[in-house]
Amino acid sequence: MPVTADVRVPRRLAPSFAALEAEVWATNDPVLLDCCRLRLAQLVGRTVEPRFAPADKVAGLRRWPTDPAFTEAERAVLDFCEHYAIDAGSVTDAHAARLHEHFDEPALAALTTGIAFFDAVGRVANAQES
Amino acid sequence: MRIQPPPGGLSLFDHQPELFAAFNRFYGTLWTDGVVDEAAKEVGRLRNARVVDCGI
Repeated sequence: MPVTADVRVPRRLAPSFAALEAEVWATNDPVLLDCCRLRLAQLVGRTVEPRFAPADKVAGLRRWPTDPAFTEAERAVLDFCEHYAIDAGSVTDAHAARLHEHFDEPALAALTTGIAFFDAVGRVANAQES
Repeated sequence: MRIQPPPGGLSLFDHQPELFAAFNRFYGTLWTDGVVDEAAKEVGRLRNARVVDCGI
């Protein structure tokens, strides 16, 4: 799996950061995680290049609630992803229940970690550029 | 708890031990290496937790 160029990482942190990112990709559906990564970037005004998301999902990402490129499972994840990024306190039991309709516990453990990883990457990248 | 740990596990991370190990290697390096002292990092950690209403 490729290692992100989304953020600048100090040299001494780079090996463990790259290993963490590789594991984040390896434990997730890369298309779904990439949609989250791209959406998180959109929310903070960043543009990052798609890695695994196909063109139809990239094109429809700003309209994910209604765009036909997205499944109900993907919509549940993007809904959670947006609430997590904008205000983590706004994530509800209903979000969790909707996610559990589509994913088991190991998948959700990996998914929430992956979303947290790319949320943090985007915030740090913005801070580095401001 | 919204994500249950596996049987015998303590946290959701026990579902993904290799991912958790990779996180811990990164997290340990983040704390122990670099030019920012640990007390300053701790202030940032606590402030972030307060912002998102985390009970640490």
